[in-house]
Amino acid sequence: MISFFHSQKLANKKLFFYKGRSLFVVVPIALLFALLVFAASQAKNITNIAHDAIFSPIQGQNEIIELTKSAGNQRVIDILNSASSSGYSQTDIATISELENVEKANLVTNLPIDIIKVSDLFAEKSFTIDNLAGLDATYAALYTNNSFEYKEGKPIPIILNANDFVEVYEDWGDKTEIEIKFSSTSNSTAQTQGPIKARAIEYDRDALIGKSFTVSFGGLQELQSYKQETTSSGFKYTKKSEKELTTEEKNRKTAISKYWDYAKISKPLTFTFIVAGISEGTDKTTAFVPQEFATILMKEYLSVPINARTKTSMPSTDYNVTYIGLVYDGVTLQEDATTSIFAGIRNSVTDQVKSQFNTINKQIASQNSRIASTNQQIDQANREATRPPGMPPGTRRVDISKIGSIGSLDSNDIKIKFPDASTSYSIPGLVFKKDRTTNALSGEYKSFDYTKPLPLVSNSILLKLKNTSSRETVVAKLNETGFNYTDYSKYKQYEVLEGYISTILLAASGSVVAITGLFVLINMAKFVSESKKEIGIFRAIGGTKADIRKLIMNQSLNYISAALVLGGITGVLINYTASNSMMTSAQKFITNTLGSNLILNGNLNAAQFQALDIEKIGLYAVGLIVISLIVTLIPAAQAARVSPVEAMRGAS
Amino acid sequence: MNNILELTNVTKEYKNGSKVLAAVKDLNYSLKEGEDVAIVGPSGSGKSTLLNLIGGLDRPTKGQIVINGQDLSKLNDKQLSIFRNQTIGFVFQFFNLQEYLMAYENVMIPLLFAGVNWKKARERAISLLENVGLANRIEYYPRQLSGGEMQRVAVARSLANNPKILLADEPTANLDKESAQSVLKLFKEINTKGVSLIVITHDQNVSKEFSHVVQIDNGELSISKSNKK
Repeated sequence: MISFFHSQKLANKKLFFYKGRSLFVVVPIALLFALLVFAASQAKNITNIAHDAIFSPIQGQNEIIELTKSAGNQRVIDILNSASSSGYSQTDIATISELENVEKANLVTNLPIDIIKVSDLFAEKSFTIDNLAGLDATYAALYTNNSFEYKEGKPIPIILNANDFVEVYEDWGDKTEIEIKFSSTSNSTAQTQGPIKARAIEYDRDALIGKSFTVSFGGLQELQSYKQETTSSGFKYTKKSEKELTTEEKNRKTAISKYWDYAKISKPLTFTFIVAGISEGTDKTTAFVPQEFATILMKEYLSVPINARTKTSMPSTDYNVTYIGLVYDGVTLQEDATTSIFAGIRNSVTDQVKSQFNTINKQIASQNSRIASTNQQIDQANREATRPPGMPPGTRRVDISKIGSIGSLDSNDIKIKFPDASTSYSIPGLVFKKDRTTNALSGEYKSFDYTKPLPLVSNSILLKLKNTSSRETVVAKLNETGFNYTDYSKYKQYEVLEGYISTILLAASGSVVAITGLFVLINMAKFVSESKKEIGIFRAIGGTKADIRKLIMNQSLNYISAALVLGGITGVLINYTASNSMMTSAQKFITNTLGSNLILNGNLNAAQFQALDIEKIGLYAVGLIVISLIVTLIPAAQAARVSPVEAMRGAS
Repeated sequence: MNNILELTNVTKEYKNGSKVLAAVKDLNYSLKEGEDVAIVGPSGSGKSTLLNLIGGLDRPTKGQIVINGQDLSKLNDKQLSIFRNQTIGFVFQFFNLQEYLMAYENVMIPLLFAGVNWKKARERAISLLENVGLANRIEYYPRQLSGGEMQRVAVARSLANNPKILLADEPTANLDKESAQSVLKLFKEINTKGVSLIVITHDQNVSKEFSHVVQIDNGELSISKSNKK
């Protein structure tokens, strides 16, 4: 019996002796195998890239559900319950966390920070951030695929809200006085006719992502440059003179300096941020910073008035009257509902224009036509209203949130004396202690436990699912449990799409495998039939069937090994060479199609296309060896069975 | 002396559709150890078939073939292969060398089938080539050799495992006169060393060199005569 080693040696001699003929067998298989290496690797790369760049972000987004309390409903509930605190609570979180397939749930709370300004993101255009909330990195996938981790000393990632990209400006024309009448039915009266106007800032999302900029928090309001009063038929705006403004400024400084270091209190906190993502296409106005940073920010923000405080004690008549701040009643830290109407007007001009001011205008306009229509509700409102400390009798606390929904208020409420900036001042970070039952304010509050979540009111809950496929059941459960949620997610379509893409790619590389396999089959069968004479001679001079099989198999193994080595090297080179253009076209494809509508991971690099699917290549190589051995074995066994006489007959 | 070859009622039939053709019919013959015989006959007479039967390349339809005391019909395929490897040496008309192997490697093949290691097989092959006068052609490929040289390589190969019988099918038909003479001379040398010799030829000049001549016609033994040596 011939040894494996000897038969291998003979096979090698044959391979190298018939170089030309060997190349005819080897080269086509090698080229097909090179194509296979390329096809299999790219199928995997494209599948992976499609997953990482497109489907994983989409899936990540679909693993998150955002529950938001409907503002309208909430208000009715508040009024009926006379509840001071609305929003979601830890109880809700506990309920949701217990639902099957919910990995975790967090409250999203807007940070009660006054005046959040951005002036260096857009050239010569500044804007304010209406609402800022801390966001757990788990949920950042809703808005971005960039890192959302807070790292000390590095720019802080932020997810901006496109609804904030609004520039507010004054336009008086050549007048110093402008009057607006409510007789107009237009909803946007103040906006179009008034001197304070707003316009959207155009932006390019891709250019903004990754950009660094500064945000300032707190500091003192810019003084309002005009006076504003109600008339019998509307509003009147009067531009203030330079002198008036200087006096106001001086008065404010004097008043604030009584209790605080003016320089310290008027200096806003600033931090450098990097745009991690942009929330677009929603009616929400919340921007997000990492939860960890939110705590740091609140700590610093609430420390500003404490650190700037002089030793002079403040009389209680000034609490939230002359000096406006937040209140903490032992349960929640929030703006005092009773002061929000004043705060809204007194606070920044931009806030006024963008939200509350507009709302108030609309609400007041509608109230004017319906005054005194429902006394019962007025009584209720009156019952809730108590006289704010320090206000003259007859002044009522008016909760801005209640004006619209009650349906009516009496004329006293409407004739609001707009607070004069010279008499009350908003102090960023100032917190008053408030008694929960009596609503009385008892002094300045100085310390929070920052190791725990701050007791803020929350209007939304983010919950992360264990997997996307359970989304439907979780949505159903949420609704059963009383959380009203309608799901508009299209994740199922994307799951189908991803499956479809990988099937196509699998089919593509599968066809190359099939073609290569077929070619190996034909080639090897041809090779065996050409070896018939040799087989006959070897049989005659004493080769057993097993010897013949061994010899022929080794020859076949040599051909296929040479082809695989040659093809493997060629395939790797092709893979490497093509990676750049593959990357460019994939990048274009992603950007031009889904990328324009979805938050995707668009930053591809050539290395992603250079990766080899070693596992599959190995599998295919072994597969081809097996195929070639089988197609060799069968005819070799047949040839060995043929009598050597016949095998040699055709030879001579 | 013992019979090296005993053929008893050997018949070989081929089926061609419904027809049965007998290539060898009821043939009886015996050859003593160390003897030499030439088988002659026109083409298609069945002489090659007979050679294949004797060499264990083919099995008879009927009858018994005993070589060196072994009944070939009792050997399975593997045993028959070993029998061919050890007991028979084949020399073919067209040499049947592997052109991708050098002279000595061609000679090594039967040794490798016998499980001899490479080094020993190589030494043996070289010494065999030296014996057939090809000491200076050891590392030549067949295409670098003349016909006579190639046939001598084939002879060396046939002797690799010290066979009892050398079977040659028209060994000189493809050679010029001179080469043919030197190959026949080689056969005689081998024969004198006790190896029995069975050679097919249609050449009278060749057949007269053998002690025995057997004529086959239509598969039957027609004349059997002995030449005086």
